[in-house]
Amino acid sequence: MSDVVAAVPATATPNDYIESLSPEQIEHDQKIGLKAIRLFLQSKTSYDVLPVSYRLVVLDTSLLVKKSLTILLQNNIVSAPLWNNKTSRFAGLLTSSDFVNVIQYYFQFPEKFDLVDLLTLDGLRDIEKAIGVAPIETGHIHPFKLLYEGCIKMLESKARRIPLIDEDEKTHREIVVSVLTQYRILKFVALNCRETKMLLKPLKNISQLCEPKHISKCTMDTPVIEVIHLLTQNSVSSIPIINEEEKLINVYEAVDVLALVKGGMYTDLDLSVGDALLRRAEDFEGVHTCTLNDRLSTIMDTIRKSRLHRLFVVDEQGKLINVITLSDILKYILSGED
Amino acid sequence: MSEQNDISMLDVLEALDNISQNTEQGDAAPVRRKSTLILTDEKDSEKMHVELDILSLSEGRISQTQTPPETRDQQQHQQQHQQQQQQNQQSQQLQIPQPPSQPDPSVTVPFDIKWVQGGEKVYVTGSFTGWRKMIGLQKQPDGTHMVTLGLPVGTHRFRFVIDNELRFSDFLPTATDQMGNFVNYVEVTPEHVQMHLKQKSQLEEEQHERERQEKSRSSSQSRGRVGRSRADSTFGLTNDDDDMGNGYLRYYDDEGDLMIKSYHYINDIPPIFVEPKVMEQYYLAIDEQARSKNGQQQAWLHPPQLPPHLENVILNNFNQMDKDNNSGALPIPNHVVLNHLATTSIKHNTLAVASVVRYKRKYVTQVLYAPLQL
Repeated sequence: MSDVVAAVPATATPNDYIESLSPEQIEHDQKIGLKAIRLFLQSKTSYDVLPVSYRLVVLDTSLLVKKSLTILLQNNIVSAPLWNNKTSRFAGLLTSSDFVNVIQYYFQFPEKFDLVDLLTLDGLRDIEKAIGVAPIETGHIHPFKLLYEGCIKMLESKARRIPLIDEDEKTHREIVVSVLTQYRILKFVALNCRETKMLLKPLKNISQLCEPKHISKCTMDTPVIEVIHLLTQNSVSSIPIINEEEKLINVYEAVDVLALVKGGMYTDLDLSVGDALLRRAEDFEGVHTCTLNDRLSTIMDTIRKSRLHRLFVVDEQGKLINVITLSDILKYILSGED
Repeated sequence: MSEQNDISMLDVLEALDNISQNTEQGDAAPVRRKSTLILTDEKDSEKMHVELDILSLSEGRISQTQTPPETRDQQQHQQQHQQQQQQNQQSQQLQIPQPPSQPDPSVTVPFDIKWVQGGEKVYVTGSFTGWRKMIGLQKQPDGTHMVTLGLPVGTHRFRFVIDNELRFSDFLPTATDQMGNFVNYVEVTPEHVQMHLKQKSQLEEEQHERERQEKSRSSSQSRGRVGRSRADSTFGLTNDDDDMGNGYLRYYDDEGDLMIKSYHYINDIPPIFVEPKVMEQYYLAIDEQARSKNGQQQAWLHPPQLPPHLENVILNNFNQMDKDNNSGALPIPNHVVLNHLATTSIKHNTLAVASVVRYKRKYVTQVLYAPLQL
């Protein structure tokens, strides 16, 4: 593979080089690149992705839901593994979708505010049952299993992340080692796998990535509670916000509900999405977009440089056409072009 | 490579913060450090000074200069107490010279860095050059590349540049840095330095010995005339071990025997630790004794002070706002803090405890939040 990379003439700009390639050559490179990335994922373990020293926040399941929300916001994280101190076992993940569920429950049963106020993390499963949503699978994987297996397992889960669980040699109890997200794995690939530069096929030619999806949209005036309903109905992590010309202007993400119900306040559910977005932290990364002419190599480069969780595909006028999620990219890397 | 955050540098900068906080609080901050901060005018040189200052100190001594939290907690506890502590600290500082086990940071250990995965032009760059300079590797007859670098104590991270391409070696320990890049790393411990120094001194000794033997040969030739064989043995110039160690060995043995006789192990737990009644009596007795001595020996009433090296909690160095750090990366902990329990103060009925443990070759700092009443 290295000889293909070496074929780049040193003087030409990257774009000249790409233009000079024939579609067959691009097709060929794309296949080789994907194969190399798969080999990379098969040669590394989840453990390799972890920094030498890192922090992991774990929440006890007897914590109140509203307090766990404060803790997440304090630590600037959107999810945390749970620990049941009665069984001394890992008890799944707390994610933004749990808060979405609580909001929906409260919306359906406003008279049960006392229950919601004193709800502990143990009680989240009852909430799921009460509003009739499927619980999020708590699949996990050993840190020394191959990254490739981790990716496959993660794609099966709605949580878009996978806990790494090991067992203590002496006590045979579970150890929560870390939690890997799709973004962290893709960033790891983008940082350490040179072959991402070979993925030069335009998105419009990759049928797996630009299959039209059903996208629920909203406008700035849509009540935020309706948007929250949309999140669960379609089990998506974000709802794009468009204006009257169908141009993409913003996005409401599942993690934004954390700021909405901060401090256990469920009184603001009748706000419009626009007003609800004012609660967003100032360092919001922005909405990432791409066009059908973009290539995976540039997308991987963007993933390397900035934190993103999905790309909205827009046309020249900024009209929303499609969405490419990190799961789409991961799935394509694992199984595309075969 | 500018995006590479050097973890150890980060450490030093955080340490700077700690120091300035301490000086603000003004309690028990060591005089020397204050003067460094006040006397220098230019910001840059000030930083340089302090950095150098810290680097030239051993880790144990840095944290000693910080105030233990107990002192802060017991601020209503009076001057007398504080003065006493200050005195303690000062005398501690005076008493503890550079520990012999902590070698001079300027001492380096030669370390062979090898690249065995092909390529023509092979360079290495890493934390030891601030990721700026590239050091060329020499091609070996077997096609591999190698360079020997003198590295001081610490963890050094590096990557290779193979024909203008940044890579890491699959044949050296790897880890990911704050950004998630793969890097190779090598850990130089004080033991390495000691071993190196020992080897070096052994080499030197051997050389000495050779010189000595040559000398003694020449002196034995001239012995008849000069007749200074006695002087040779007293100055240790002759190679006679028995002569050198005369008397010392026997003395040591005697002392060892005495020690063994005076102490022996038992299998029963003394009642003072298991019988509440005995325990209470013991405390009463000590209390009485303390009162009779005018409250001078009440030290046992207070929990002992935290050893100074536990003061530097890496979690406090965590920068929440660093968006590049989405893996929760922390500075590498000093190994003495491993397996200790750290806690926060209880807020809103929630307690957070944290502990740093080794997980294979990495360090996990787990923070567990739990409600107070279960």
